[in-house]
Amino acid sequence: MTLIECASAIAAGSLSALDATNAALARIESADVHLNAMVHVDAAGARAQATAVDEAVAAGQPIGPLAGVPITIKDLIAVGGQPLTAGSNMLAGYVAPRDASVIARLRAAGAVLLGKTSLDEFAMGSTNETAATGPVRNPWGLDRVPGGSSGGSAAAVAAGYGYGSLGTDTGGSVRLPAAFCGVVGLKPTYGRVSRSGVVAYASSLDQVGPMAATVRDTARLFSVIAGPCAADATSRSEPIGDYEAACELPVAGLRVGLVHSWLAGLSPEVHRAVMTTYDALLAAGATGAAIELPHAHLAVPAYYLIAMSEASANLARYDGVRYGHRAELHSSDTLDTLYARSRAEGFGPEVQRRIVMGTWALSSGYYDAYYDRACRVRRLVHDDLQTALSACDVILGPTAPSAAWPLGAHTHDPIAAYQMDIYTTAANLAGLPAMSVPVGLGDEGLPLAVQLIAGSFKETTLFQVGAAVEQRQERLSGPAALQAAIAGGQ
Amino acid sequence: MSDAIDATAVADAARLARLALEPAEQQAMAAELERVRAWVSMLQAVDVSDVAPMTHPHEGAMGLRRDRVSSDLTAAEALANAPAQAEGHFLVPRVVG
Repeated sequence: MTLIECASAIAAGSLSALDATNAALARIESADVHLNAMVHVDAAGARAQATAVDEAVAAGQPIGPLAGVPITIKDLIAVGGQPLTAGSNMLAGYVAPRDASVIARLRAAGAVLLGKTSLDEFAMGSTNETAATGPVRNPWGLDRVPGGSSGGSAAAVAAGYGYGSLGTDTGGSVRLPAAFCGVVGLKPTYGRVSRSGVVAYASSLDQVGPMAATVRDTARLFSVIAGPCAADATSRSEPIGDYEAACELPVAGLRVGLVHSWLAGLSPEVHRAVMTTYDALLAAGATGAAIELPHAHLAVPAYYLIAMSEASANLARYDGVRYGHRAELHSSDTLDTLYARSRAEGFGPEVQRRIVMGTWALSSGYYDAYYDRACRVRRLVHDDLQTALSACDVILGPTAPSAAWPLGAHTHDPIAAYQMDIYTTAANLAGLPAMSVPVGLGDEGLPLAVQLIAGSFKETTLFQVGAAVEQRQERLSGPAALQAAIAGGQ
Repeated sequence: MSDAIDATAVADAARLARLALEPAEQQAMAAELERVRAWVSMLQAVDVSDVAPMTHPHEGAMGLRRDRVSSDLTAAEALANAPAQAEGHFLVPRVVG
């Protein structure tokens, strides 16, 4: 059953929201010992929300587009009254006082919130291995990473913990895990979705994005969360599209751009997947366009300099005084020494590396050569994409250079791990919407995906093309590796 | 001035960032960050002298709301997550003589 089928069945009274929620909770119970994707499950709260929906349906009251649909939330997004850890010991024990704006929108639409999913600490990672609660495993191969930083969300959707999830994407953190776990993930246009109540990583890049098993399901979630928000100064009021209707539009006449330089570094099976998708879109009546992004190879280093610099500023708020981890107080402590020890104890190694690197890049003597230069290169990457998108309606390429890699493969080589974001960071630098769409399984039985990038606020084009890509695929069945683990009780 | 990141550069940045790092941690981090610095230095090869820095995707379009007091967070709620508090205040080490 898809998210939309679940919502329709509940609205029609043929499925009770409580049954749907209990089934999702039972799935978490049986599967999460193998995946470690959940950091907090709110079973009682979810059942209460589901019961309220069932009562509304029985009373014939109007219900929302997600009424009774169980979903999960990345633990970077505040759900009022629930723990909010950002995957960090720094926020162990923190309880969010309020719902994030996107959570308020989900509640108004009737969604049932199952709990919070694991992530790389403060969303800093591409593998979900820096989470304070330990790595998440990929449901398609338990020895593989799920991708990150929204790895718990992607694994949860793939494993059937409800029907969708919200992640966040700063440099690929929705799209990469979506690709590795065989689900759909959307990074919306910068400003399309409110970030009020979302823990900040790099504020000129962060966006909240939906993840679900199908493109249409993702459109339903996105329709609920998209729109302006008075509490987020970066949110924008451009008109919202009819994203579900866009999934039904033909692609004939659309211009699909292929970036040739992006085909060079791919594993053979990802290369094949991109080219097969391109050919299928042309066969469906789209026209092809060869495009070049001359500065695309500079997107990743520019992205990391900018993200680390912004992170160093954003994470200055964790002082161990107002909230968060506080070191044991010594009689000789000053305010400064208390800050410094609290932060050194609370933040994990990758977060500390990024804070120090960002502080260095912003400091006197290095600012011009590093941070400022990265911002100038950002404009070159942005301008390349704008030029490309004047010659085509959507850019087709890979989401990741390969299928999911083994756990621990890049633990000791951060630069190799950073370079896994090679195809995703450009959209964040330019603020453009981008979607990862699954395109079947590769040689090792692991999901493969393609990425689509469109112009600002043209998410409708992504849903139109994404649905056409999906239509040509056999829908992925449940992940066999997880099923085998559950059956074997391993 | 050399750009290379050594233990002294890490110690300076860590002090600015209020992170208490032991000397051995500074050494280890310096080696890691120098590799990152060398990698991002590929940006130095690009001529960006005529390119304006881009700090935000929607430049100049930030919306502002009215500067009004709201009751989003009560004092009790703000203090609820504090590691140490008393009599309606956050507790910190003594800051005056």
